[in-house]
Amino acid sequence: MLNIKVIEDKKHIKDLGLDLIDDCEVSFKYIKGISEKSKDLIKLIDKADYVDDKTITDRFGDKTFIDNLSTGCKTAICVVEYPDKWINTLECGLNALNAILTTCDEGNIIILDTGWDIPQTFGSKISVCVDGKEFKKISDMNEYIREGE
Amino acid sequence: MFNAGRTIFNINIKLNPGIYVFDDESATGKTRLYKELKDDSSLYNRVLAVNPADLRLGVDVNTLIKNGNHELIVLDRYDRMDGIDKDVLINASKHAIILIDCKDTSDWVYGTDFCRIQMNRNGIEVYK
Repeated sequence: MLNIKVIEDKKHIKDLGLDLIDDCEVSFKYIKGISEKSKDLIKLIDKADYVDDKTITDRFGDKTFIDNLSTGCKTAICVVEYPDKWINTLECGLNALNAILTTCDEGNIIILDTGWDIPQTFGSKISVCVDGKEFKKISDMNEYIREGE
Repeated sequence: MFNAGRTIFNINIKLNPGIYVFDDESATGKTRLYKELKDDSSLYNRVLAVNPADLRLGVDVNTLIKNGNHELIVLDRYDRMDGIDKDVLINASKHAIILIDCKDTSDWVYGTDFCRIQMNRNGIEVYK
């Protein structure tokens, strides 16, 4: 199950005392040999195809450096490849957040409550735990976060 | 309005001077926009493109904005930037288009508008 902590102020993220990956742009560089799930996320979020540890084929069919993946995609890959760490998803767009929720069935993420509902871009079925409560649908999780209970 | 005037992978910003935040969506071309503008030395006097790595190298963004007369300012990964003076941005927005990649709504400058970005094989367009 994907574990989620929701915070309202990004300044306090380090006060949580978690084993944290705060900047995925940095941590992504150290990943060697990504899993099939991460390759799926590259396809889903960036519409690109994984070639090897250094290259992808982008949405226009051009070969380019894997470092040119979006920050949201790199964050999603960190959720998969660092399952024992808490991943700060502050820089994820709502589509990337949805991709993480609907694709990742393990791992740990921190979400900043910006007031926006997470959309159902790639699907609505999830298996997550927020504050000890389990959610199977994005709409239910959004309602819980919105109500602040 | 801002047009980079390039024949290959052009950048066209169809906005009036002001402060704009991109839509909250990943993989739309925001960082590509930053990299293309930063790497193009022909745009040096017209454009300021900054990301957190630039700040770590000691770039004084506030002074650059205050002393420059840029047509376009792009702040990539703004959520990770500390020390940007919002009053400097507000003043600059009278003559410059300021595009900000910022997911944390509490960091938005008062009066910020939304913009959309579209990237294809031939370039990037930003509009309302």
